[in-house]
Amino acid sequence: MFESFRGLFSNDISIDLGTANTLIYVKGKGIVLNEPSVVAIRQERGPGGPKNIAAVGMEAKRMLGRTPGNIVAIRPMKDGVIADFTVTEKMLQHFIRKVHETKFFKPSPRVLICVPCGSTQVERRAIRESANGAGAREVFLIEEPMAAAIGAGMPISEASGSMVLDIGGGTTEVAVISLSGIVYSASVRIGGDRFDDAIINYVRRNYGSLIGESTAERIKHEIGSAYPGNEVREMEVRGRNLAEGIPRSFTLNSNEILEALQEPLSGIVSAVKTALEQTPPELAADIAERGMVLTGGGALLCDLDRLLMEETGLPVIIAEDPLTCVARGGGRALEMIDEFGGDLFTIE
Amino acid sequence: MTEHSKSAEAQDFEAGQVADVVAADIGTTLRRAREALNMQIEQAARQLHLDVRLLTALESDDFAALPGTAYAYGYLRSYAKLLKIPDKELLQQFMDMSQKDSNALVPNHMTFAVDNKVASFSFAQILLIVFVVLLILGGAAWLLMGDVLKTSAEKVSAVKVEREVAKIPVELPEKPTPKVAEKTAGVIVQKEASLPQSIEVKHVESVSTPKSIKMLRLAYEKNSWTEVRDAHGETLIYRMVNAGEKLTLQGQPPYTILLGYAPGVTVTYKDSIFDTKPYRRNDIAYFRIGKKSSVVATEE
Repeated sequence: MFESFRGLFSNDISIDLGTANTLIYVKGKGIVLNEPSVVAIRQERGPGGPKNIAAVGMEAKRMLGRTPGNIVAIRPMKDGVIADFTVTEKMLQHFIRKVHETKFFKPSPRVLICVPCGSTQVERRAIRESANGAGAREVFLIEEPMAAAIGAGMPISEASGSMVLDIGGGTTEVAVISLSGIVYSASVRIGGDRFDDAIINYVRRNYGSLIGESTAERIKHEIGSAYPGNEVREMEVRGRNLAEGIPRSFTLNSNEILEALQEPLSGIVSAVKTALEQTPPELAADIAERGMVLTGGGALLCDLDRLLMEETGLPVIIAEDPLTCVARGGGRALEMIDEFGGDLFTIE
Repeated sequence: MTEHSKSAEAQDFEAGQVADVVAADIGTTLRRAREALNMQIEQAARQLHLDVRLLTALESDDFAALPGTAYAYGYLRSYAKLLKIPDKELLQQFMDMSQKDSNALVPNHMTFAVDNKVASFSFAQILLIVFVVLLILGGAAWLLMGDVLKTSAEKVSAVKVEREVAKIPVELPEKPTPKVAEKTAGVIVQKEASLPQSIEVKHVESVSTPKSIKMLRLAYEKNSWTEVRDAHGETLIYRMVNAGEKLTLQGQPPYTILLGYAPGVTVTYKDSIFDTKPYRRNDIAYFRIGKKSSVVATEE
């Protein structure tokens, strides 16, 4: 009773609980939060002492890899699902409070959370309970590719096939959607994090130097490429030389990064090819004509659309503002609850 | 999709020249850029893996022929990239064009930034606030009405008592004996009096006229502490009297009176109003009244 009363003072929110970033969309206000899914935990009075949250989000991400002994900066999500239940709950709690301005009532919103289509029942339940623990009044789950398609503005309710490829931080989701339902979906545990790991491994192997995750991410953003282009970009990087044990600087170029990313990229390409093989012919014909839509942070990797275009022979387009597609789509889905009922949502 | 097509057609037809000029710019810019690169439209279509039909539609600003806004946006970006022209301006033009029309080509989510000023109060919140306000107003109205009703009920009962009192002398003209009235010394409170008492009072008032003029009447507009003693030192009243009460006192004059809040009490003796003002000190009045047919008041 009192919870529903508090609900009157809370906004309905859609959360893209991603491995790399958490985005929150509030009905009528748009995206109101976009912060890294990182939590810094401080342990007081030595080992075994009480733990408390030192920082969440952007502030915590700055601490990643730079913390003293009593602070641990962790990413509670891994491969699109919860790796640390308690910390995820705390993080959600922090974010939900942050997007509610009211100080008088503890927020109790209706929450829609996007889950990878390949996640297991146990993983979905963990996400649901984590949101409940964070104060949600009601929790809805929606599969990420569906949210991404809605967010990209694809005509999902038509009787024609739409293919969406959502490359997130932990997973890549590919789905074929028709008549507001998922015809085929697959999820591979390859995403932005795997790209970073591939760059770290490449640098260690070829330059004998060790670089951190943040540096690898920066390299990916600046000179990362998925298809050989005419222009070669270069970047100076500093890392610890493994043989000498002291920091050294060296120069990387976009072709090297392209080589480094080959393995995760081929994983994504093969997932797309498998999806096309499994798609019913009528829908495949629609997709061949219109093409597939790329969403998620991975879509910003330079020339990824070109790679997929050449590999599949289909038109590939990048959605408007691909990073926020899933959160926006979730928000739209929340608004459509009354129109479509629970059709869009997943059942555990 | 068809809805978008219809809206686009409607826009071409109705939105006026401004939209047409802006829309024309996109197609013309693309065609000129392609011609500057000496590229055939088929060649471009092959590189983008798109139908020639779709590119022709883009170049002729026929966005209705494209399969939805999301796709139109994507094709425009890919084509601009292929033709090596800055895509930001073209896409901005496309967005502006769609936003000008009320039946926008762009779905709602793309314009969410514009809607940031949506009121932070939801319908349910407004409803709740209205309910609470109504509840408060209702409560206040009930309290006020209660007071009004109570007062009117008192008036009604007082009037009733007076009417009954008035009737009785007609019904019982011979029954009363002045002696009874003379012996009666005490307080007759009209509001609180039971019917037999009021009957008794009436006998006194109507029949024994000489005594009645010696009666002391006190009418209260405000609450006031009241002490009244008669010539024998008998206490006729000694209590807080509430506003609205009317007291009729009988005893042996002179009366010694103390009024806790004199401005709120009207004193009537021998059917004339007695002015308490000269005897007030800080709203408290202490005086004696009714000695040897004249009023002798003492101030302390």
